[in-house]
Amino acid sequence: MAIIKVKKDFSGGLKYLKNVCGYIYDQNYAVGLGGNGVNPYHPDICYEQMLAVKKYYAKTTTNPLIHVIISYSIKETPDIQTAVYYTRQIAEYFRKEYQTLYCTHNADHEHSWFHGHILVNSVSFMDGKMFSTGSEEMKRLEEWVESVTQSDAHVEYWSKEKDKKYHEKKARSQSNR
Amino acid sequence: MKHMKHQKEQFEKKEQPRSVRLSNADYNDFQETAKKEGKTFSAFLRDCARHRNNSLEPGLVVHMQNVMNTAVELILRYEPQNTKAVEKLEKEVGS
Repeated sequence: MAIIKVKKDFSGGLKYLKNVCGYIYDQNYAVGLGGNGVNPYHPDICYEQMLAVKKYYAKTTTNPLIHVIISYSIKETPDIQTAVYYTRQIAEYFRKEYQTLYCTHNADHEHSWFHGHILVNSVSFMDGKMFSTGSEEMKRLEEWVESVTQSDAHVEYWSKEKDKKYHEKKARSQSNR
Repeated sequence: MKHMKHQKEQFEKKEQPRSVRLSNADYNDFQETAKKEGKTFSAFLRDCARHRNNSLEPGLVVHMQNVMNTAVELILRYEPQNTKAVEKLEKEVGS
């Protein structure tokens, strides 16, 4: 089963967008970098391009992006090439209206070996409308992910508190090794 | 795709009404164009004013960026030894 985590950060603003663009390019883990409507090779340029769309539609405040993280199950995604292919195909969901930056991280996690990151500019480049993460839209995303991975998919909304707990747990398990 | 309403900050709220004098011809022309683009009359005029120096719409820029990305991918796939061309394109893409 693929787990889709949807992260939004209202407090970080554009700084959050810049930080996440940089995080995606982590050279230790990132494989299969790609983008829709952005330069996938330089995080600073990618950030400026997403910001340009926001400025064009005068929507630079509130939630700057939707950060989608897909954890692929160990059984159904045996190798990094499959995970890279899945991430690329899942990112196609946003292609018609939203800039995206995506990559696959080759990192060891509790339930998966690989996970895909897709950063979605919350402002549509077509008409400036904001991406909705309501239940209807997320259901459609789940269905898309299921059609790509040929397995069940489930969306989880990821809050800052959950993020903090996750990183604390990770730090504890790394210090115990 | 469903869309969410943009939560406006105080400085984004439209609190400055203005009236504009237009000829009948201009009014009809702007009204028709606004309707075709799915905008209100006010939104149409705001967009014209905001983007008066920018003829490149984001949709076109996105398309151009994607063409460049494809070019870089093709070089990386078929001529990976051509690192100079790749570096040049990577820097030029989107800058």
